[in-house]
Amino acid sequence: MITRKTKVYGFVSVLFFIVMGAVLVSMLQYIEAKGGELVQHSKEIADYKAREQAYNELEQLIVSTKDDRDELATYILTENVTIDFLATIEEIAIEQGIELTTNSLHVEEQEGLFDTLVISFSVDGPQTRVYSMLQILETLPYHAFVSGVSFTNDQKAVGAVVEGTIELNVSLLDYD
Amino acid sequence: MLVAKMMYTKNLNKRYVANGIAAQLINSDTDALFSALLSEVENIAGTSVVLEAISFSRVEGKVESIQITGDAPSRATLVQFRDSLEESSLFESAALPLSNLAKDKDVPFSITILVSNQLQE
Repeated sequence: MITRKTKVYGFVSVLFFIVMGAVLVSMLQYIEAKGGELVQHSKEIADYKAREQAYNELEQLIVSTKDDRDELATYILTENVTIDFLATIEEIAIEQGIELTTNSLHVEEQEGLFDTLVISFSVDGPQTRVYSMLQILETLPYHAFVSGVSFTNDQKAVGAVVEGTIELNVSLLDYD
Repeated sequence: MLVAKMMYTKNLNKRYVANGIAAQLINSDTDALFSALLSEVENIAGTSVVLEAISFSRVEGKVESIQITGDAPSRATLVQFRDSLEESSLFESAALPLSNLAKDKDVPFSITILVSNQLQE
């Protein structure tokens, strides 16, 4: 027999079931959201660790290649050592016993890291010494090449004397 | 974090510059040296032909031609000089304009030498 008490119990039970169901659904949603956040955090941590590892590897690479990079840098002229470079060339010319004058100096802008410094020299002196100077300019320990040469034998001079011009192109590191 | 990022960027820049220098050096032309070509012309000329002027230039990194002017004691010596230049492995050809052969003795000349392509590959 269904009494009033039974109806109340039944109603309370259904209400309790509904409330518990709602609580359960909310908890599942909460757990799912937290799970998503956890996955996101795990990815961020993995990303961070990967970047940290890449950074460490890069740092090691920089340390291990320092000598090579320092050596590489010596082959390329920079603007702040251009004056020293010209002074060195002029000193070599004096050692070779020839007259060398820097006629012109200009920078040809190129795309990328490097510009080209174009230097025109006038040379005058004994033939063998001038030729030797040309060879020195062609084998400078820089990224450079001789782009033009014009020599004239001075017929009026005593012995084989040559005068002329040498154009040298040197790569110039552009930090801009 | 900011410092680490700045260091990272700085290090990347250093690496970029070093890589650029290495690439530039690797891509260096291995073209013929003027001094070697000059030496060859001088050797061939020897004492028989007087070289008055010689000029070279590079076009896009390659030595295209060499212009020489001078004096030869005779037409035969000049022709022999031209032939010797052409026989050299460093040169492709030596163009001697016929007008240069007008005189039989004390012949002023002008020759254009083409440098061997093999030398510049």
